[in-house]
Amino acid sequence: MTRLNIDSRGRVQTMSKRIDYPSASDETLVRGAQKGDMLAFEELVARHRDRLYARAFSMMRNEDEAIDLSQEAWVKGWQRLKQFQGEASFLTWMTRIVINLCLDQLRRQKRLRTDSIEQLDEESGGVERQMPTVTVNPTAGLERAELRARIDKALQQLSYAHRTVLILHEFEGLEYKEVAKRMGCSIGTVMSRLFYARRRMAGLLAGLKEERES
Amino acid sequence: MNPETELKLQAWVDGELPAAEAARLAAQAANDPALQALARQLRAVKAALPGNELARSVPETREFYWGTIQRALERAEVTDTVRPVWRWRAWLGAYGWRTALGAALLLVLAAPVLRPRHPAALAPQVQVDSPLENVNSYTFRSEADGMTVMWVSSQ
Repeated sequence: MTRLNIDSRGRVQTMSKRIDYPSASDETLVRGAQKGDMLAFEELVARHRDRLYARAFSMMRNEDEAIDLSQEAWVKGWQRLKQFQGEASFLTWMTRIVINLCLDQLRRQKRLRTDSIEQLDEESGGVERQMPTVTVNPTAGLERAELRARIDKALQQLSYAHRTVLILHEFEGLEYKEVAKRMGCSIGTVMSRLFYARRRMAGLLAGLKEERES
Repeated sequence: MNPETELKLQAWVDGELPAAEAARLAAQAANDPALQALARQLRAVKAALPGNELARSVPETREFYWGTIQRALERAEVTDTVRPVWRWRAWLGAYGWRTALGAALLLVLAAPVLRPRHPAALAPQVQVDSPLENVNSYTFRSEADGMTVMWVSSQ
């Protein structure tokens, strides 16, 4: 049985082998998409669109921007699909694309710069440095859903620069030098921002816990 | 605790400190409760985040979300097809007159090098017309004075 597939120009393509799109693996779909199978690509989009959108949202904290940037990432993904060699998973590859687009957007809007007061705060270690170190784990004993909601609320309160460092290092697992390269700053700045962001996070999470318990 | 120690401690927690320095810091931390407390805090935050990002769904239907991507892909394909001609025209519009002006200037400056062996063959006054409609340039060269004057007019 052959399957007709219509590409973006409206040309009818005949797939020599039938692909059961919903149950096909990412690898199969990627191979199909690399040969121009738009239906395979559409399935990949449907499968991973939420993850890409969530990453864009976590960086931009804005629904419309997150939708636009994640869609732009899919367009770029399709255009560069031939470059994808499968060294990392397709989702990881696409996530890197959306992160780069978000970083470009933040740079254009100069949102990655720390404000002067914030900069001073960061350099001096901020209020967090003056406070005693929170020794009780602020996330202990929480249900996962609650922990996620709390982390998200705390992330919301960080500046773009600090949030981005945390996302790249903690969620994406990038090393200092890789974070520095992507953010266009020195490793020292990354370390300093990460330290400040973590201490702020600890303070915010502890504060949120106290709020809940009182 | 100074900021340098704090950042080193963090690098140690993240496994980014060279082995020798990591061993030194571990020994230092073993006798310093403040360092131990800070390391615990950094580790707690580090352990809490990975895998605990709030899941979010695209607030659009699959069809609507994909439709936008598909239209963008179609537009990009059309642009790619048109781009070579469009780029050439855009380049001509943006830089064409500058290039012509530059070429004229280059000719003037290179004239002493390129001039024929018999100076008599070169007229004392040379006029170079600009090929552009709205930019005129006239060049006067006096061999006697060894001077070149170029006059550029936008009209």
